[in-house]
Amino acid sequence: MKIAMRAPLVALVLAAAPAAALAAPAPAPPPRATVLHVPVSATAPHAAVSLVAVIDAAAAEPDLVARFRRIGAAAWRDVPFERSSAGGWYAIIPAADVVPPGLEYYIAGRGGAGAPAEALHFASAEHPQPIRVDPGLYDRLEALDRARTGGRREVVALDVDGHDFGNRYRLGDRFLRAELRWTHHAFRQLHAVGFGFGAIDGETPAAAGAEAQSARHAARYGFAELRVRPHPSLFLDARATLGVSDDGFLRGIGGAITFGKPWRSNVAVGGEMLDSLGPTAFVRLQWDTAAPLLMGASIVRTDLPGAVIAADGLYVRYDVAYPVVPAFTVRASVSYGARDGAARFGGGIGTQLAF
Amino acid sequence: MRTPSALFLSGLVAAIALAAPVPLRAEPAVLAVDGDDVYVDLGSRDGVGAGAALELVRAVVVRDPASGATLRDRFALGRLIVERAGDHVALTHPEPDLGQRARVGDEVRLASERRAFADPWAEKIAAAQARASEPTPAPGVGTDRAAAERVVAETEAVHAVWTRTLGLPPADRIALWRGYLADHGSGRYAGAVRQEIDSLVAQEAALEQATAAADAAEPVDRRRELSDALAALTGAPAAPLWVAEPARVLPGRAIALAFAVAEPARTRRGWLYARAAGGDAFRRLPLTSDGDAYLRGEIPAELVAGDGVDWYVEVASDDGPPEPALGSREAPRTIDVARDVTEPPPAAGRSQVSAVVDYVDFDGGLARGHDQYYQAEIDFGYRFLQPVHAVRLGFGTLSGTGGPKDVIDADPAGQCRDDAGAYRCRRVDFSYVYTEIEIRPQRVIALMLRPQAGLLTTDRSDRPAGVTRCRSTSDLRDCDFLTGLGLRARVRFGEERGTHLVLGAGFTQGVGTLFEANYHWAPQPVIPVLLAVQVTDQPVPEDFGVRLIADVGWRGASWVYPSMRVSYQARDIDHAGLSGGVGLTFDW
Repeated sequence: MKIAMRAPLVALVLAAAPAAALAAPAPAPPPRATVLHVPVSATAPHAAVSLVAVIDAAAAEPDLVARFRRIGAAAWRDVPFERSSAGGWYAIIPAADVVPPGLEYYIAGRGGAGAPAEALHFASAEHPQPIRVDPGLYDRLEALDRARTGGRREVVALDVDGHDFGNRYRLGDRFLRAELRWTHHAFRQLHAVGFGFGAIDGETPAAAGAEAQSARHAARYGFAELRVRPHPSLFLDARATLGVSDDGFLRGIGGAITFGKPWRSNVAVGGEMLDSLGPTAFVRLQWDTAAPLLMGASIVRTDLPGAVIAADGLYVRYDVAYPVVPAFTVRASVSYGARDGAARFGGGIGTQLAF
Repeated sequence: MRTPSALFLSGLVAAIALAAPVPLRAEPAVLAVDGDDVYVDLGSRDGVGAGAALELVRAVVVRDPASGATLRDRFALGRLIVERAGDHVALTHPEPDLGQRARVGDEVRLASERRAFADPWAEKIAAAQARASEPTPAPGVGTDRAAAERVVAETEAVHAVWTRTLGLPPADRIALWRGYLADHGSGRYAGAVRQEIDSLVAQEAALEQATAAADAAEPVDRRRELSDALAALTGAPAAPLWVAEPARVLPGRAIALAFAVAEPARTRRGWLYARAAGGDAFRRLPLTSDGDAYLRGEIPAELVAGDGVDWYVEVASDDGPPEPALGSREAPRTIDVARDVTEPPPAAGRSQVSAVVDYVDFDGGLARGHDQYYQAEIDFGYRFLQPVHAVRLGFGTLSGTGGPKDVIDADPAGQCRDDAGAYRCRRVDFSYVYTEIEIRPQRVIALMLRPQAGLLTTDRSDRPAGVTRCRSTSDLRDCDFLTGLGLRARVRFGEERGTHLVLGAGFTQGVGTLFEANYHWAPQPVIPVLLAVQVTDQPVPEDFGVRLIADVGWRGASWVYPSMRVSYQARDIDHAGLSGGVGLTFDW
């Protein structure tokens, strides 16, 4: 009876032996994928980040993801690695999340049902890989401009300037120019655009000699301006003018180049041509070392208001601007110069409101 | 004589033994090995899909000494992960070591969750149990109970050893069987056991030979294959490490670099070297291993300054010397550092406004003489430092009377008339503006270039109407008007704010020429001193004379100082005079 009972036992042992043999080796480590990619360390703003990888044994971890967040954010988000028909695996971080100062990410995977803890393939939540998203040059410049102006992009300015050149024959030779200008600042390469209206009134000898008479010259015009910034410290201004003058239809163009920032110390050289009212050219040095005052010295050579007796109208101008409050600035200037005869004084005032 | 029980047992064992050997294709097995692709005959109809884990099993042929039947046993070689699976065939990519050992015919077994898979072993057990329950053949081994019990005991002993051998490598099995023979060398199963030992020895030899062949073969570096695949995918160049470093970064922020390891054997250790671009010494920074195949490091923020950051990486194997992997000390790689566009606050010591009035009397006659002039200038300057050191704008006027010194000195009436009675002197009035640009190629050398233009009025009459007649009145007789252009160039040697020497030359159309040497120093911090020598024919281009000038200032406040000057000038020893001037300089 005892033997009879052993027989099926031996049979069971023999039958079960292969299974026992398979179970005998030490438990193998859980299967895991291997992820190889070229880590991303920098990218441009607002451009999707593509993580390109080759993955070995990807099936061991069906949930293989790049986990990312914006620098400073708390929550992680996942983008899965997906196989491309062209080969390789891709995980795409959306462009909307690619903003300065950057992102950080790591790569992790998890096996199928019952798999143990998440496997880290590159970096970790505690020590993620940063992706720098440095703002572009003009992004940085715009940020500085916005901070400097307090976000005020619109400026309305009113300026009145004039000069009395005098004349050796005691003839009138003077002009007064007023302009009202609205400027919108984009703070980019196209730094500003503006539009305004202006008026010039003056008199100048109609001919040389004591017998001549002074004639009135005047213009009413509108103008459009734009300012571009091809370099952080270089500004180009262009201006087109259309209007009427005592001589009829008035056209004008102007321009200036500013070496340095218009709100800091700089040197500017420019000019303007107004049909019958003649050309003007200037060079101006501005300095900001007496904050909050902004001072400038200019040398101006002009034919305003349409001089015909000589092309020697020249004056030196000193101007100072004072911000009463950040949004409101007043300006004053004094000038000294001559065209034909002893030098005389001129000057101007102005104000601007930013909002 | 065998007892019925013994016969029953023998028949049972024989029946089970005959049933137990697994046919070659009864278990899933490796169908083909193609490079690192291993195909097995399991598929989705077997419940196997991507991600399923399989056990790779090496079959060993064993013989049951009791029954003489040949059995196949297995021992595990490793684990396979199914990458793709068809209905009946699955594809796996084993680790390189395992892939080298896999052979066609090796068996595989589902090692992951069974899910819907049929268990072949359970089926076998069921089949065995079914056979065990079948009617037992009639005993034919006699009825001697003692003999039957000996047979049973010996059978049980041999089966006990055989059971222990299952799952063991051939060498261990051989050892067990030899141990059995030591006690049962003359038993009824001794011959069968010896045959089994011989078989196992042969199998072990074959296995060792296969293993040796596999070991001798060129190892397949799976990681290297991954690297090659990534290189093909991304176009990355051949290198021990790959990195996508930024081309340009903002200053003052650390640069985190992560490197993908393309050649693991060469890259057990790594070091990152960095310095500010163009600097002298590299700083050695450790790289740490990370993840599946990466090294990571960071260039500190303090090195991210100036025009760029030079860096390179060295790696080493476990016991090898460091070798360059990316860049080198002699040819480092560079990450550009973007210019800091943050605007600094207004700097002190950049602005200067000065006004100077200088009266020059060459013949000592003062207001009654014929060789005097005054010059006044107001100058606005700003030191930009870069790209030009300074820019100045100014306005000036030079007014006076001049003429041939021989005529002036020879006229006993002091009217500047020659022997023929002709008036030879001229009154000039020159109002001008200028722009000066200063470039400083070296800290102690500066070049200053000053173009100027102005209106020159010349009065050739001898009317006592003052020097401004032509400029200011309507009486234009004997008046000449000219737009005078001029240029002045100077070189400064020494610190602008310290002791320095300025050498210069200038020429203005219709006004004259000026050569100058100015020596600036401050015997006391509050006493700036200027000593100058000038050679000039101003105010009219006639005879040259020399001016010796001493100018002393008083810098009682940091931002302004007045100064006074005295000068001696002469065109010859008898044509000389003393004069002076004042100045006021704002410097902040």
